[in-house]
Amino acid sequence: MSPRREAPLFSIVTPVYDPPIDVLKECLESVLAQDFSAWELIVVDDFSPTAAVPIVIAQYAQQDGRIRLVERDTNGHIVAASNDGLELALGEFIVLLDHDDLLAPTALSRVAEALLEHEDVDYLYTDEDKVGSDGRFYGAFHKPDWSPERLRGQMYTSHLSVLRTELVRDVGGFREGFEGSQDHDLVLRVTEQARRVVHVPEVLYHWRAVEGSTAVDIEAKPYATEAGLRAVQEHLDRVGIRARAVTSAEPGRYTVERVLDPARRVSLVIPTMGQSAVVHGASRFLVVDAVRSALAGTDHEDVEVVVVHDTPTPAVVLDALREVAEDRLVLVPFDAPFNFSTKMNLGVSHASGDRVVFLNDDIEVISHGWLEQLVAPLDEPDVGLTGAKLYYADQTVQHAGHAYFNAGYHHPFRFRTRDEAGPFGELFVNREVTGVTAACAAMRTETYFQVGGFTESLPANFNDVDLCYKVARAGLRTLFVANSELYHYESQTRVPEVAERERLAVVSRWGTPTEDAYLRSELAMPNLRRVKEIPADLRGGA
Amino acid sequence: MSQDGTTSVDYGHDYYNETHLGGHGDYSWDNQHWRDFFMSVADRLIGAFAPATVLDVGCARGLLVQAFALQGVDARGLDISEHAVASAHPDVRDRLSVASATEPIEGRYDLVTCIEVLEHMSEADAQLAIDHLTEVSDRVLFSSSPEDHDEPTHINTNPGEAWAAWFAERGFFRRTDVDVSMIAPWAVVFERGALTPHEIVKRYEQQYARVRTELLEKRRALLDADRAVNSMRAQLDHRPVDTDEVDRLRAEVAQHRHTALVSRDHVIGLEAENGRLERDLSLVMLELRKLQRRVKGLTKRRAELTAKLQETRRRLDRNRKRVAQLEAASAPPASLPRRAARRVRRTLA
Repeated sequence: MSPRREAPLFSIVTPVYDPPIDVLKECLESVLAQDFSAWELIVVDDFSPTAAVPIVIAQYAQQDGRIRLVERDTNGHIVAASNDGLELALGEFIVLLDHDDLLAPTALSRVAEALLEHEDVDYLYTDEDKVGSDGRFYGAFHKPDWSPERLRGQMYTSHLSVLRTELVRDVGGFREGFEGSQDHDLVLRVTEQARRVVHVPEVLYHWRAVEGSTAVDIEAKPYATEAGLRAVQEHLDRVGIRARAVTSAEPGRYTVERVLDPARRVSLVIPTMGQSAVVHGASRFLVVDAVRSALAGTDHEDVEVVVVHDTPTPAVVLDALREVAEDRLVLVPFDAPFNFSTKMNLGVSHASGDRVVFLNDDIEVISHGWLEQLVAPLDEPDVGLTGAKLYYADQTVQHAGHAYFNAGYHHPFRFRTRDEAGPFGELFVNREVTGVTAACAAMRTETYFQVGGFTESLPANFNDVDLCYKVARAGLRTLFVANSELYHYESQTRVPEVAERERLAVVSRWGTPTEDAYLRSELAMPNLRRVKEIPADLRGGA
Repeated sequence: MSQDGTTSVDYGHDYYNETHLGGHGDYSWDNQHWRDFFMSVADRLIGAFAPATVLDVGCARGLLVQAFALQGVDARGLDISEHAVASAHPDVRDRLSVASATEPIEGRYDLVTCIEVLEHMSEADAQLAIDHLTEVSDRVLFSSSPEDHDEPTHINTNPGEAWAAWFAERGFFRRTDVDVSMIAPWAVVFERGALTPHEIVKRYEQQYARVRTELLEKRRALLDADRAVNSMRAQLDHRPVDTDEVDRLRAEVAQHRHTALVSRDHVIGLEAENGRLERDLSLVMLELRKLQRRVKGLTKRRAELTAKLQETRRRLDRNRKRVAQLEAASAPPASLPRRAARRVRRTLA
């Protein structure tokens, strides 16, 4: 074991501008109440109009030498004030604390413990909740583990944020012109360089919900969204992702619209038996419309369509496919008993693309550019798998990423409507997930062969779960792509039967899942179910 | 001098230093490129003709004259351009004069050079100039570009055969045995001679035959190369394609890719399962070790307690025997206390 290192010194930086005095006192008291002593608190008064503000801070500074008051001669707004604080910081780490928020009493001690586990932590964030005017805590945000893609879609790490002082100075501190999203901008720049980012899954920060503060409503500060967009766009440009950041369904959420390299050859791999079904009131051959909509919904040119079809597939379906996909069609016949995994593996073996997209035959594309958005993130070498957002025919969510917890493999947010954002934007931002469904997912062909494709020992269920585990084991990220939207008429194909044997096979390989790294069970629950019949004991009356 | 020709003002500073003369910059003796060029031209001509006197007509800044003079030849130059002569190198200035070749030239020279000059003159002036050149020497190095029609001062470009014919009118014929193409591909040495048609034809036929042989050989080589390229191209384009074989190979490749996938999945799955089992085994071993220590401790404690029990039993037996002995002994009539003890023991038994 390495010799025990000393706990680091924390420099808490708190820019202050005219808070209610009692709220400010509570904030300062929450620092004094820490069960950990190696800290300094730098309070920068940004020329508050209320004279009592600097006086109160000065009193605290007199009582405890670790507290320092910096008085600005002008009102410089939060960026200038925060940078004044950064300049004076002596600690190894910067801790950002807003003037009306509260630290949990164990905040610094828990952070210090987590920092001691690794020498190379450059950025750390914790969970948080809100504190109301009555002092009650509510609305806990149980955050995902380090998720760089999600940070492009929202400032999810927020509070408590702890940053290595040296790195903050290297990247130039807070930037003027990003007021309102200055934290997002700083954290994007710091994490681009960070050697390690750590998430402490405990609520160690209480964000005060005051009218006009962003905790209640980011719309109170429209300039924050504009600054956030710029911060994300500049980040994308810096790291070399060809994409445009645009506003999303909620304030403070951003959609990253990527550009797919035209040189990429993409192979769609679709297994089918050529069934027809009634969709939106009309009968259709599912696979034909799947391929038609897939090709119509993309501007990408180099697309190959590999259809793995059971031998009983009607000739009329194959003819229709030839008509729709022309010379881009590759037909692979299959005459063994049903095995989804084998069909996919065969399809990919016949594919010539450097990207493969798995597509069930009962999908239909909704969003134009679905393929570009799904495939482009795979240009980041540590992204191994991407999955689309899928809806049932009634526009309720069928898939928005998997979460594995409580000994089960779950589809969180199933049956939510298309306009719902999820508790913290989960349904609208692209984000890291533990797994995605194979009904519509994409990989680099190389990665597919590297991890062994779909396991053929799981013919019907959980083969995608197994694939996601294998991708994670290879050290690669799996992304849910919220702006690649399709219908999945799932119930119209196979009768979903969950074989216990298959579940056990996954468990024997990968163990029993307890808690999800990217979507905590608290946020994933409750799992909604379709109500087929109201049970007798819930019926009204007698 | 006719109005159609160019005059001295057309050959000012810019003509020599900017737009013309190959773009090698400064056209002067100090420019190494030009100095080297004219030194080698002079070498070549001295080597071929060993002239004691040379006149360069259209000498510009007298670079060739200077090159000859450096090697001991009594060289002179004349040029229409006052600027050129005035800006000549001081070492050569005295050898140069401003004059036009349309006027008669004085003196007599072993060699007259006239390089890239006559195409700048009108046709009539050029004929006058040829007259004057051929009057002062039996040998003329002549070069006149048939190209560069976009150069504004090239007002009288003519093909090589035209110049040669004009020189022939004055009794000058090409020295077919002297090659001065280092000056320009069209440069030629004309020499006065009373040649019979026999000799002229022989000279030109000799040249013609050589060139024709070379041409034929190159044509043949080109044809062979072209045939080889075509045959290789045909092999590429029309190599018999066995579609069945290609399909079979494709299917085989796909099959092997599929096999690789399945094996890879098995390996990864087994490794994962193995890892979990190994971990479980390690945990069980730890637990086992702990339990084993506990069993050892308990066993020891049991042994101790057993020993203690046995010792107690031994003492009990000994005491029982002693009691029996004491009771068996013909004891005197029991004392009062003894009787009392007996009663107690009976009730307890």
